[in-house]
Amino acid sequence: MNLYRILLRACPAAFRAEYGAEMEALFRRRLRGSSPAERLWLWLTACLDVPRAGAGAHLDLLRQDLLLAARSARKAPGFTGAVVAVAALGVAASTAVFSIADHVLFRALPFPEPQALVKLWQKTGEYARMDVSPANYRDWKSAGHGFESMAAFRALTVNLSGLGEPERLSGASVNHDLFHVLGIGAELGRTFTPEEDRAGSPGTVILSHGFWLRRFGGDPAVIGRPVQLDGEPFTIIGVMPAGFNYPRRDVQIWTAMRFTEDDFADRGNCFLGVVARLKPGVALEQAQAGMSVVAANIEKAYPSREELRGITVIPLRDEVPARSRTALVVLVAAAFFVLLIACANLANLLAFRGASRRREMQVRTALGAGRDRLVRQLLTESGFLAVLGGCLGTGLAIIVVPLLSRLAPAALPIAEVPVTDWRVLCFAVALTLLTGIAAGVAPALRVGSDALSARGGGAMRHARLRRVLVAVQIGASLALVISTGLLGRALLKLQAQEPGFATVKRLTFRTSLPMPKYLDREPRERFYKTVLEGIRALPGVRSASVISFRPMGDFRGGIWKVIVPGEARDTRGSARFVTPEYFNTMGIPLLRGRDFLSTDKPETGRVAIVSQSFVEDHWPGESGLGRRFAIPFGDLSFTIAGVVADVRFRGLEFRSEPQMYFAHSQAPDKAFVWFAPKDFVIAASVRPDSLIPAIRRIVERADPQQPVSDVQTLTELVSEETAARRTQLWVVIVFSAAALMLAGVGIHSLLAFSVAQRTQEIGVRRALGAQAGHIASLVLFEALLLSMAGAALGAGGAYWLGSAMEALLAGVSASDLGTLAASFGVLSLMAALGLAAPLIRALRVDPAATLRAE
Amino acid sequence: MAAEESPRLPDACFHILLALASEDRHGYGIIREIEQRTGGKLKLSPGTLYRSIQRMVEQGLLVESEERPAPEFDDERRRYYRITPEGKRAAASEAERLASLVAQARATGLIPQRSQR
Repeated sequence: MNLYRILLRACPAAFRAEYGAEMEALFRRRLRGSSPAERLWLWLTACLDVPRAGAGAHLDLLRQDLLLAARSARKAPGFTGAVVAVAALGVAASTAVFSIADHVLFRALPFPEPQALVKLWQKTGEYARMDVSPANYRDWKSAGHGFESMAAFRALTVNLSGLGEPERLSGASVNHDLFHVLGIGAELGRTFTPEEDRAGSPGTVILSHGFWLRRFGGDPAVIGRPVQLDGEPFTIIGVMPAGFNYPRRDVQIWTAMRFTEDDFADRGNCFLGVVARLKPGVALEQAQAGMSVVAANIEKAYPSREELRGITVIPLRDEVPARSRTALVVLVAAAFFVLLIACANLANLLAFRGASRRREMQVRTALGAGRDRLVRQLLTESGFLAVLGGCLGTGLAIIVVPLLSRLAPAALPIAEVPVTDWRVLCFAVALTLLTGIAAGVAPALRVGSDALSARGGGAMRHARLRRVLVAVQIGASLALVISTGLLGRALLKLQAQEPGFATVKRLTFRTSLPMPKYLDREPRERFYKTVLEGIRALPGVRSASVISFRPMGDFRGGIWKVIVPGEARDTRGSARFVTPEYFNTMGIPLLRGRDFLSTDKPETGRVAIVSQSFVEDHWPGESGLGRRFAIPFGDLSFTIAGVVADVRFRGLEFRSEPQMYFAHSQAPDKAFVWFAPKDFVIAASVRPDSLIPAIRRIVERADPQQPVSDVQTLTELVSEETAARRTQLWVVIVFSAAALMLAGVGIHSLLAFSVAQRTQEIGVRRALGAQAGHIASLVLFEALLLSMAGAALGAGGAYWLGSAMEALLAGVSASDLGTLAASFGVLSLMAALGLAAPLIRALRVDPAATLRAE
Repeated sequence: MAAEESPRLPDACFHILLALASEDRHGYGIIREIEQRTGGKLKLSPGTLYRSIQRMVEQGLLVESEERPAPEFDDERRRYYRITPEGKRAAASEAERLASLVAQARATGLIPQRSQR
């Protein structure tokens, strides 16, 4: 029968007390005289019957309690509003941040069996993740045993023409295997066949869903239509489904990648991304071990190229940039603090109300309500309010999530804005219930025990609980304020960081020249000359030039090995081709020597201009002028003709390699095609965007097929560097403002309550001659105690947060004194505001009135 | 509560009210009475029985009876339940509802007319 009693535990205590014994007796009676088979049947039905009865009784209670909760919520609209708003704030903050963090960090990638997908990188010296050369890729693919399939791709930008306005498209050039590796087929038409990967087969192109909708209005008849990419004929063969964004979110088209024998000639010619699918049952470690063997074999075959040996295998999911990861983790922590404060605040509000309802509870206890019944009712009440807040908060989160989309890096194959699905909603529901329970349980238990105890002791314990809760709020908000301060300092520091070039009244735009039309230097030079002459002739233009890639633009690679005679070290520099006047236009100071000249020709001896750090790296203390160095491509060597200041081309917060600039007028034909200058820069004396229409006309005159894209002022360019940070900072600012407000309200309500309770005491003290200062010290002492306890908690929390986000602080110390001092100042101000009203009330207590009441 | 407005009585409750219509009974007595009445077709489980009783007590259809039947049949530990006037009204209105349904079924010829004996 013990089992039956265990089953009865599923019923509410009151029901059990009332009917449990009877049910048990009845059941025993049934068992008596039944056959073993019947007994088994009876037990089986009892296992269903009793819990079902229990669930029904629980539901009845819940319905009653909800009615009570709704009624008391209506009776106290101010209290209800405050609780719902606080709960909504906590749930909204956490749900919005969870939604974006889950989207970027945890959610499975939108491919079948995504856990089997890995990315392979070449490990070269200090660079753990380098692009792969076609020759290495070919060896990896034929020798890698742990993989079901492997595919390579590279970024692609092409000019689309033949459909009206020419347009520059970003996409990817891919092996036909890519779609097989990722496990996604075409929505319309087909993907590439192995034949299409071979040089010489007709051009075919696959469209992204978004591009298909935008440019073709979702017309299914698009399959088979001819288009021109970089002036070559291509046929549209397929459209990928919505949400297929590989390798980047902004990809618009895919073309088949075709290798020529030249591509395999040099193992140092690294430009491929490699993705693979593990064979079923093969673990990542096994695959990595297998690839290490492959790497060792490559080492044996090419002992001279030591830098090309290592291979890194990582899950595709882990491609999130470390900085984005840290930024999101910090936000999750901040949201957690907001939730904590919200819960503490709610608990405080509920405890406050619990105190004022002590009589009601005592009456109900006297009428026979058990303690667990009261606890249950109070929990239902806090749960009810939390659910109201949770609904509001979830709605709010859904609205604000798109504003946070900047926190999702574009380099991931995921959508820009996370979808609100059952995962997010489950999280919100769990959070809401947690909030309701966390906020409600302590006050409910207090009230339950209070109701039974004598009058005085309960009030003392109430006060203690509320003090702890307020201290927690102060602590958590201090931690948030300090973190906000640190992130703000870091942002200011970065914004003060000199990019190395001038940004004011500078404009840049791109003309990606299609190949093979512009494969040779001569036609490119003609194009640049026409466009630059046109632009320079515009009123308001001071100078103009063109470079391979603008600094801090979409391509920050192009890091070449540098060969200096007599130097054995492995050193590198970033390579760019430019036309004359580049440095002048960008405001990059020319420190020594000269700029490129129109007289620099292939036959005049190749010259280079390098950055100051390049000279310091190789010839410390020297001017560097006249020194010679070479690059490992085409046996080209250069004489340094000029030295310029360094530019942070990799971005404000990254270390940038020393820079090498080469004269485009000396570039060999049919080589360095990827580095053909395409980013024009203009220094203007007028508002730079006013020049755009004229520029478009000039480019159109030079080549009607040539689109203009990526028009941007340099101010915008640099400001984009810190855009994700600014979004993050905004979120943290909003969080800390909310936290401060909540903590302020917490201090206020606690002190107001304690002054109200001590009105008599204060009155008597005044009547006995206590000075205003003495009365004030009573209130101030309590506030000081609270603030100090909170500050101690907060300092700990801030230290933890600060060290967690060290990578984001751009060198600002986690214990930055200025920030700490300012944060304590802000907190004191908040405490003072929360303190003011109760203090004034305490000072205004009229001793005569108190004595009369006594 | 007017008959039309009273919510449909669950089957188990209707049977319990019928079982209590003639005399007060304890739980086991109610189950046995229903079993006999339905020729063994309906055997209420303890859970269903006491859940129904709880609800009907809350709705005022039943009360726990203070009086005990003949002492020789009484068992101290058991609780006896008695139907209230409210409960009688609810049972009657449910019976009428069922009768009217049956009458409609007869009128459509779904089941044979009652013999006019």
